[in-house]
Amino acid sequence: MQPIATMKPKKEATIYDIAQKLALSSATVSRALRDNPAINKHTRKKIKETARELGYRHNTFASNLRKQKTNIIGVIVHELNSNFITSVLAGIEKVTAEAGYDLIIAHSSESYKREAANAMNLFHKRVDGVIASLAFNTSGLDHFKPLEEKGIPVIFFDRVEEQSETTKVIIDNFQCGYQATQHLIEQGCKRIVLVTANLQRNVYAERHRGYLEALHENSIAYDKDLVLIKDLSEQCGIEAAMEILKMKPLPDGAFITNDFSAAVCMQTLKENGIKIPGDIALVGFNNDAISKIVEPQLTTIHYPGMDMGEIAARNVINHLKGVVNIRQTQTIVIRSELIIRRSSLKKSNHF
Amino acid sequence: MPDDKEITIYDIAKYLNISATTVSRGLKDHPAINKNTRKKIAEAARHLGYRSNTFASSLRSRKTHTIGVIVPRLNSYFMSSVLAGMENAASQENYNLIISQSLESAVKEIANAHTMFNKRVDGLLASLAYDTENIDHFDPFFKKGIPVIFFDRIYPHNDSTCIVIDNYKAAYDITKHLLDQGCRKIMHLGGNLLRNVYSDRLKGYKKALKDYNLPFDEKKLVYISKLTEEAGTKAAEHILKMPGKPDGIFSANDTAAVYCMMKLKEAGIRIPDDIAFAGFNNDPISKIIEPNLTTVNYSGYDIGETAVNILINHLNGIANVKTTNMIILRSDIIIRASSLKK
Repeated sequence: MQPIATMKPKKEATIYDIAQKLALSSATVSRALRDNPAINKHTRKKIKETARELGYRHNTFASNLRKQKTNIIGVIVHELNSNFITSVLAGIEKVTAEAGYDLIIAHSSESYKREAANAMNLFHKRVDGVIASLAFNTSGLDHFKPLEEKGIPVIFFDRVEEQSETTKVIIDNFQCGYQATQHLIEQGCKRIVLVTANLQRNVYAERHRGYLEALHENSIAYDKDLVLIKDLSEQCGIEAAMEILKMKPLPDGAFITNDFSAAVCMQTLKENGIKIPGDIALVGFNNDAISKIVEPQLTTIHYPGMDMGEIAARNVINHLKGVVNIRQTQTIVIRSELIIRRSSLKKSNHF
Repeated sequence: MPDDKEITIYDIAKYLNISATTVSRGLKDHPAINKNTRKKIAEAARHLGYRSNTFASSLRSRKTHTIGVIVPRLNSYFMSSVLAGMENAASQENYNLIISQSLESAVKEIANAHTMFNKRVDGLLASLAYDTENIDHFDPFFKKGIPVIFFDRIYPHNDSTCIVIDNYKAAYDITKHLLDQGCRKIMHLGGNLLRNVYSDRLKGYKKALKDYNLPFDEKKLVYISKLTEEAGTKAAEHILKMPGKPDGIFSANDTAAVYCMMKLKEAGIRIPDDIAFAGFNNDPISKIIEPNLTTVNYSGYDIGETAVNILINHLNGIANVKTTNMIILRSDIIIRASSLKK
């Protein structure tokens, strides 16, 4: 029945073709396809079946040209290979799919240059809104200006420019850094290593600030040799462990701002005869599945990626619907908490 | 907040006092236009907030430069590697990805396919939901000649290419490894057999047992579940109640293997001495659990990149997905402490 595929694309079926086939008016077909109750239910069903049979597709472009809307939300992320980011994406997708929006995803691979190119690409794609998390080395938000000037809402999450006027969804990284460090101090730690990433990025800078504040409040002198700036990868966990092993005297606690790195670091330390938490107490960050699998289980900061994605998406969509104006909202802080497990409990044995 | 009127090439032309044709060519970096003029045009475009009219040009070219992606779940380690590979390949060729998840439900997958069709994606990449029974919902694509590529969880179709690993062989090899370690009563934790990945893994496992002339009782040795964390824990509870316990377990994914191991260890079972373990996927957790888990390694990133490259080659007329039935990517077994009885 179907002709053999030819080089020329087949002619697109239109509502006129459906109308002709069913001997109805094109106005009736058009209404029925939009589920207008003025059209008899059976007719609607017949029209939809015919549309399917003829391979009819809505003319999204033509209707976009009229409405100046694309129903697309662009998402810019700094990476795709992490539990946290994919949880955020899952949260965003859940909300946007329900609201009838599509997602275009672009990732910067931690490069400012690619991030700027992605922003321009989304601009030309005429997305209705943008949700973004910044690369390691991004400073300034000029590359988002063209979107802003067109009135396209941009919402940042997690990795943001804290001082900017833009709308952002974050956790209180300062508080998290403070709590983790304070907890280690309460467990008797005095030489606490901090393993984190580029302090130019808000999330790491704030956690570092929290670490400093806790040390300061407890009158523990800051030793910059105890702060290791790395990329929080698997390899970084091994490197951090090797550096810790060389430190004299040996540190008695470590706050590693990524669970996977912390788990790998813990394993390497254990392989070298270090007892956790006896010799060194450890705290991670994210509450990934991995934190419950390592032995001993890892104390960590619960960081709800799925919630963050849902909240960012809901705000963009509500803005587009005119329910709220996100320009009035500057910062949305999501709840996070310290989850205490065995890896940091030097004192008590109640586990 | 009334939206400003959309800036057109005529506005740029007027602003610079040159012809619209020159502006149009300049924006497309046409070499016939003087370099300085091109630069001036680009600056004016930026200054005025001009956006290329993708829709109008899509209407003319009938191309959207978007690729639809339907996956069961976005938040899994494997799928995020796949997406990273896809995104990398697509952005190099100036394609965008439109992404949706079926949340493992056939009903949602059908709705997603319908949306992608109406969005006029240039091609579709799909990995099927847990309970999808047929692929009728992709028929509109086949009828229109829009290429569809299935990856990982596939469904062979004459008009489509499938990208997989050799699940049968990987399962055979890893089961054989357990047998070589002295296991004689190996249990299999499997997934829904509607999905090729799980049915092939079961077949490979069965074949290895057969080659060793071992008695096989499917009802006792095969435990089918959704392979989630909870399913792994439940499998362990089931095993603890079994009269004759298995001496080896091959799980069709790492998640179920790891949670099963944790529960068994709590109950005092020694791994690998009492029960040797093997998983599938080489997820990060396999390197963290103690003892580290023997597993099958395969690259989600490579699968994603290959899927996009094949699709784009088809769209560019360099290759045809209809002539390629299946592409099998490399996988290998990683032996770690969880299976080393000897």
